[in-house]
Amino acid sequence: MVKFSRSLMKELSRCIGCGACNISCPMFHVSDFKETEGARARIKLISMLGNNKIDLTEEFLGYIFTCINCGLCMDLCPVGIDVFDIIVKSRSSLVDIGYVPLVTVDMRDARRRTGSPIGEGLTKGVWLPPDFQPEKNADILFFAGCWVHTAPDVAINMSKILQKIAPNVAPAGPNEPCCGGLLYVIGERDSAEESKENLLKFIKELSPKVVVSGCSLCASLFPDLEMKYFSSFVDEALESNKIKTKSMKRKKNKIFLIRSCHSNGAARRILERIKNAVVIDTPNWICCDCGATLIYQSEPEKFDEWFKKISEIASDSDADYFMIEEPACYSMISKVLEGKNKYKGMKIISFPSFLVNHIS
Amino acid sequence: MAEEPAIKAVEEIASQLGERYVLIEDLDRSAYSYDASGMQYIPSAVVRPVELEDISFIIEVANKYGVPLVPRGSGTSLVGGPLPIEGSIVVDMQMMNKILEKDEYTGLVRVEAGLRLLDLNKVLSNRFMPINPDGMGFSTVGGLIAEDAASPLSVKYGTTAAMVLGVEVVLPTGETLLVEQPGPPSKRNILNLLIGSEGTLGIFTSALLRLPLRPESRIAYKIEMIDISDAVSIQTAIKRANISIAGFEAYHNYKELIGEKGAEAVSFLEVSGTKECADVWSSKLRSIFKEMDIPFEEIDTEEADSIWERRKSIYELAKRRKSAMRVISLLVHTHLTRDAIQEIDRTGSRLKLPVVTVFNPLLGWVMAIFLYDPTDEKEVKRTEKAIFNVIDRTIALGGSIGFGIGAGITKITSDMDEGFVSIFSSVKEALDPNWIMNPGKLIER
Repeated sequence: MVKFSRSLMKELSRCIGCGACNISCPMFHVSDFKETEGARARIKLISMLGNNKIDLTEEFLGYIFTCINCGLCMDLCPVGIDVFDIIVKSRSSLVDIGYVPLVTVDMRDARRRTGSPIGEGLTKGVWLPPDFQPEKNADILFFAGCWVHTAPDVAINMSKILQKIAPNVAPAGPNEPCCGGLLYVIGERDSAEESKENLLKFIKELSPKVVVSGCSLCASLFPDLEMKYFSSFVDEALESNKIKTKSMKRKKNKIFLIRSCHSNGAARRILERIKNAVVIDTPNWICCDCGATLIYQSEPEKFDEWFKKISEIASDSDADYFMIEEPACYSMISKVLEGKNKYKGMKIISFPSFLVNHIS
Repeated sequence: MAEEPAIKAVEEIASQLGERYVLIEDLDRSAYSYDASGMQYIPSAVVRPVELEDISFIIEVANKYGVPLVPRGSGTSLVGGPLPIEGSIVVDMQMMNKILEKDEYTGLVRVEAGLRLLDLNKVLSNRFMPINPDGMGFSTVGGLIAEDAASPLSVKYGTTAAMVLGVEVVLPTGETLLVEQPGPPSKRNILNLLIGSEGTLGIFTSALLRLPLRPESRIAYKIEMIDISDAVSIQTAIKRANISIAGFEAYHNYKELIGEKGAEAVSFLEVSGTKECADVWSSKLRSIFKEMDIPFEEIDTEEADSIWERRKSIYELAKRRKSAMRVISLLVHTHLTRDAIQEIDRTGSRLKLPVVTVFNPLLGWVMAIFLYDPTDEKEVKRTEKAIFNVIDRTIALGGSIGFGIGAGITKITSDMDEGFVSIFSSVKEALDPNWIMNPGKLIER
């Protein structure tokens, strides 16, 4: 029998079942509006579990842990429930009382073996010399984030853009610690906290002026790390005229942007400054995020479905570019496409790799 | 666990639709056990049709095994409309969401029943559906028609029925009919029988709608009512002055909106149309406010929109007071609006429950919202009692329940409307002899 804390139960009971959270839920849309996949069902079913109205099977446990973790569900809640926070809290409560779903075992194991939950034999900082040591007191400490290390071209382009903003950019390099973000969303509260503390220590020792993260999840989940997400940082630099955009040669380039769900629309604002770039309006549930890692790993067919659906919408809107803001998502999609950079007549490109040619 | 006939029916449906479109796992069944009413009933299965033929087949099989069906849109009902109270099979209509035809000039659109309002409103550039029952556009066209949904803008635009020119419906017999009236509504009665039948007479698969033009000009006001009876006086004055009001909504006991000035209610009004009309009506309205000594201020249309998307402000209540809510919708004679509100207030204070009333004096539409702590069993029971008490008092005033949101599980009884119950029951018996369509809703068998 599962017993959640009183405060969690009280928060769950405040859900009025209106379904607003489903409006921005990617899982709900990708599944052709199947109620079970939406955020409302997750809240309602977790509440039923807390009230002993439903049995906790392995399937159910896995279900609670495997949404895309974008956090968009809290945007529209009319009664102000932080839906994503409740889902994560209930995951932690389940982990605390010993219910660990099989689907997260690989991630836990990868974290133990490699220091990063994404596994896949990850080697960090492959684009840097093997004995690379980050410089102290840099203008910018570039914290790439686990997934960015799997896409070295994106990491290099991010670095190049940052170098245009400040001369002294220090990549965190091969010893970059895990931020704990992914562990946090799979309910591993203690490991996440430990990772975060390690990272804080790492940053403190290097004492940079600012830390820029290539991954939006770490920056948004842990405000106390005081990291700036890459797109937001570039957006601010453009706003204060530290850098400028360069126009595209061909007229009317239609861009279908898969925005990062954890940034505040910065990539779109940046693209809108580029002459001849036309950013297509996309439904609010289309986003990308490294929180999709678990789904990508444990239910690849669901991840494929998600990609198929959004690429269809992009192709129907006659997009020239299928642009992915978040490096994690770019990396996962690249693997699905087996490295092809053209799909359904669209150029598949990561946002930083596009931007590097349009910033001066 | 589902009953034997339901299992057989589901197996047969799965063989035709494909297993992907039939959900029988506990997780899925639980996910279709709620709506926005706060009630819960687990279905024996969920089926997800994608075309008309699927629905005819589902109904045929359900009839064969005597298994009840409940059509469901987005599940935003406040009265349990899509809840499977007799272990029914839920028919999830959301995958039938295509736009079949559209015409910018006439405003006619033919759409499938599962299309959401937020998508419907993107179909034509200068036209819109003024009824937005959940305030977020999540509700489906089928749901709107089934409940004959209304909004504060129904003063000008009518209820959903006013926008519906026709429906395609699959009757409980399995027969598919197109019920349409393109011209003057001389024979609309049959269509109007289907609209608002709350899923008890068949499943709507598509609808022909005429969407009204967005108004060229809008002027909105916020007014304070020191006394609730002002609502009655204002609506009389408005009618006498022949002003065409677009929207009207008043909030009583909503202290977050009313403020500390001691007013009993705060109201919002809008006039709309061509610029000339809106200006004339607006100036007439101002004269009425001044004559009646009612404090007023003009508000921007954005603020007005948030009021017409009524449910948002109601949900805001639950947010601010951190509680759950139970809603009952009533329709009373306009001159008795004040009496209905007083009865609601009395019920709230007697049962020690905070209650907020949202009402539309021009329609006589009153919604009582009881706020309660869902984790306190005693309070849950008192809320239940309050709802029945309010219904009793409304009947005594000659009113009825369910306007604009449906009666749902609460049901309309003979003592509320003998004529309706008698005729509707006969129609139901004739069309659905096995009572397989959404049993336990709207009327008692």
